[in-house]
Amino acid sequence: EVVAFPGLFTMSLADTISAMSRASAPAAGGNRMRIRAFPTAMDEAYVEQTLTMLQGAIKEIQRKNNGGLSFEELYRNAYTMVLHKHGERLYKALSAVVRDHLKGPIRKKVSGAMDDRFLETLNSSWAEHTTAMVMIRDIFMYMDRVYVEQQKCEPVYSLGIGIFRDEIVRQDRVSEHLRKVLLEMIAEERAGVTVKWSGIKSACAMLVSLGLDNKQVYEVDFEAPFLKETAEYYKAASQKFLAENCASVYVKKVENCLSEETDRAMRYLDKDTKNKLLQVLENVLITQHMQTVVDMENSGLKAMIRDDKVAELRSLYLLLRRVPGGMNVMTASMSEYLRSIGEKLVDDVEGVGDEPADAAAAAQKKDPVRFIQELIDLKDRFDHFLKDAFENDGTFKNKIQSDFEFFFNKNKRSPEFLSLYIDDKLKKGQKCMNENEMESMLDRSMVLFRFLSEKDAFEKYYKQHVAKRLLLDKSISDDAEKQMITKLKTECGCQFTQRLENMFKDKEIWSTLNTNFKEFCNARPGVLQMDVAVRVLTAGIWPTQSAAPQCVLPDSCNDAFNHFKEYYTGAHNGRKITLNTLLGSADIKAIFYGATPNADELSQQESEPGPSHREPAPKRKEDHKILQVNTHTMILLMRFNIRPKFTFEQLKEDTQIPDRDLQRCLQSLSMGKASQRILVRRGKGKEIEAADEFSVNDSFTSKLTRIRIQNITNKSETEPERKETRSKIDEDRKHEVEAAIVRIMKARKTLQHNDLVVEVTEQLQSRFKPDPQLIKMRIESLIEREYIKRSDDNHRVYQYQA
Amino acid sequence: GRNLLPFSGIMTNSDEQYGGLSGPDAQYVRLVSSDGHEFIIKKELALTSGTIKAMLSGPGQYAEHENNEVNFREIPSHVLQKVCQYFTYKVRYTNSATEIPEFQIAPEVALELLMAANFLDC
Repeated sequence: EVVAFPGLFTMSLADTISAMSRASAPAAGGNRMRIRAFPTAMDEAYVEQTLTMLQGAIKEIQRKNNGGLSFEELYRNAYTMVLHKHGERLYKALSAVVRDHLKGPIRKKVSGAMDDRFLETLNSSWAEHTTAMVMIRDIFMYMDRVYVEQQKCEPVYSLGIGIFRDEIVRQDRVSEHLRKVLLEMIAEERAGVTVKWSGIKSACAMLVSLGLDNKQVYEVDFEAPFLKETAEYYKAASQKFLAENCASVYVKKVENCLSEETDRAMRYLDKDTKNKLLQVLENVLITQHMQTVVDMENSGLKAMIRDDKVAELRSLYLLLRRVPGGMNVMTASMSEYLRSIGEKLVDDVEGVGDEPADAAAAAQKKDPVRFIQELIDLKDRFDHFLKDAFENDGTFKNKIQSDFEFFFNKNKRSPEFLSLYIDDKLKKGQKCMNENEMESMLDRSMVLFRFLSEKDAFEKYYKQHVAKRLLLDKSISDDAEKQMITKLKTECGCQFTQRLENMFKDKEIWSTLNTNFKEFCNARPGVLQMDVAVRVLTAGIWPTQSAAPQCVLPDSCNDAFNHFKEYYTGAHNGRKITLNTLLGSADIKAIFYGATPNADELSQQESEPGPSHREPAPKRKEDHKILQVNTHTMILLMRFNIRPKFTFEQLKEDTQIPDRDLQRCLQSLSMGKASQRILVRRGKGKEIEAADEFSVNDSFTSKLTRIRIQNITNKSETEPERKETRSKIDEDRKHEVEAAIVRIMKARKTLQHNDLVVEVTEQLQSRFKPDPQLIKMRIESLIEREYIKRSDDNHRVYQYQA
Repeated sequence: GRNLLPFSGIMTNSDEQYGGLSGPDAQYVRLVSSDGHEFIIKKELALTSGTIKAMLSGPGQYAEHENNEVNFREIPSHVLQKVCQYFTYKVRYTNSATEIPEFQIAPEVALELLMAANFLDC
């Protein structure tokens, strides 16, 4: 039974048959079927004859005379030799023929052409040799498969290559000369001369092949010297480029070099040389000079940024990105530039740095809104560079961010200023923004918000400003306000925005409240003598001054308030309300009687106490106006119904309005624009003094019937206000630190001092950076109050006390 | 005489009608056994043998290459025939998804076939 093994196509026919016969002859041992020669032996004469014949054939092949030879015959003869165990003789004979040929005629040819024919001669000799060796290998294929395999000696083809290497290349300084010629040709090409680069290509391929299983021959004989010479060439060239050109031109020149050399490498050098070449070039052309290029006066990185040269920046970026350290050089320079601009912006804003020398200098200082706007514009500008020149590279992004954080936080008033900016944008009277513009503005504000290290300070100011907007009805739209709150919530969590949302809740009730109150009043006609609109603020939610002043209201106002109190406490059992005069406003009717030309009449007026709206003399005309003022101003003005003149001191005593406020009101009324001068002031100094006298300005005129009296306030806080806010913030921080300490200790039970400080800092970092000293003090305080205690064995370790 | 193998394809008399025994783009080769039998098979199949491949597609301009014909001085026709069948079988079923049938080898031919396979490197 003969069984073939189907499907075993990894095996050749020979193996298939072997396997088959092995299967049908189980007694046969051994793994491989050995082919033994047929009984007929080869005698010595026959062997000699065969060898000679084969050697002759090889010589013919070497002389390119192989047409007409029968492959089958040669192959079969070599095959037979090996079969009859003459492999060694065959191998040696083959070696000898090849060596003789190369040592003889070929070497002569090559060493005789050490002139401009050298490269061509060497290349052609090599090509002929390799072709011949392929043919020889084919003929001796059986010897390779069997004899070489068994003896582990060099296969035919490699043997031939090795002989060429030893007898040609390593003789008569051929390899030296070859190197010289190749490098010369490349140098010429670099200088612009056209060279026959195919010759270089062939020579390089030859060198690679000569290494057999590695590229060492190529690397040692050609590549290493080539790279060295390239480095020297470009070192000199780059110095020259640098001296003669500006930064962007240098960058372009380097780009050209790199592309030219890459081209060259791909055209005729070994493929592995390209990367080594680029490394050398990048080092010599870029790494060595990048600092110089970036720092170049008037054309380096800073100049490019200054002049908005995006394309140039991009090229510079792409170039320097190739080398280690390139990015750092660029970001360092950019950061220097950005910080200097940022710091200048920060120093320029009002309220920062030294007090300005005079009014002119003060006017130079920017207001906070403009400051923030300029920062936003600066960020925009750098974002645009980041996107268009730096491909949103993370290194640059982070650097820009840290720079902004640095100088934005240098100004201690930044949190307040940012809030003022947003306040400005959300107030009525601004140019109308559509939805997209609003969203974009709020987003940009959030970007700056994220840079703040004292976010809790921002929170405080933002609350104050929102409160003001809501109370004075200055907000441009509830939707916009809520949008901003949502953004803050997303960024900081609910805690941040809880109070703000509660303020809105209060606000939403107001209109209902007023409607209900109106009904209440209608049911009791005659009680209320004026129109009143009331806003109720839940205590604790709205930011107020530490103590609401108790000013003296005119009677009519007091009555109105009491009436409302009656209504409210009736409707809401158990609640208590107090009036806050700081935030209200009033419309008052005023009658001006015109200027009095008569000095006598004037003195008459002065001496007689009495209301200024007594019966008018015939030549006086009445000028009716309605003035829109805040509560304190209203209280002030109503005093003038009693007497025409008051001193500051008197007003202060009568109204109990706090000093600072009173000054501000009087300033607005008497020292402001002509269209606002309701009062006349008699006083000497720039500031209002106790003895200054005030009276109604009867010659007040205005085109308008309804006049709004603006208070001369600083939008931003004055020094004492700032101190107050700051102390409130510090107070809050104490509590937050303590809360954090307790929270952490409760979870950890025991903790070392340093670890506690680290954890507290981590927990609070989204709001502010706690001072380690502060933390220490709070720990002490908590120990005193027995929330935590020191461990008995190690006083640096704390323990939680339930 | 000429043996036309069932796998080899078309039966005609003249070279020209094959359109492919002469020239470098020849589709067919002629394999001649030691006892003078000519086997004309598709070149593609013959290249299964490493030796034939070197002979016909190597750089050398051997006589075989010139004439598209190989004379095997030591392979008899009954063996060479089997070799040609093997070439066909191999090419047909390599990388085939269908079921592969056995390649039948008569025991009396096995040894000579093995020698030929060894010689031809296939």
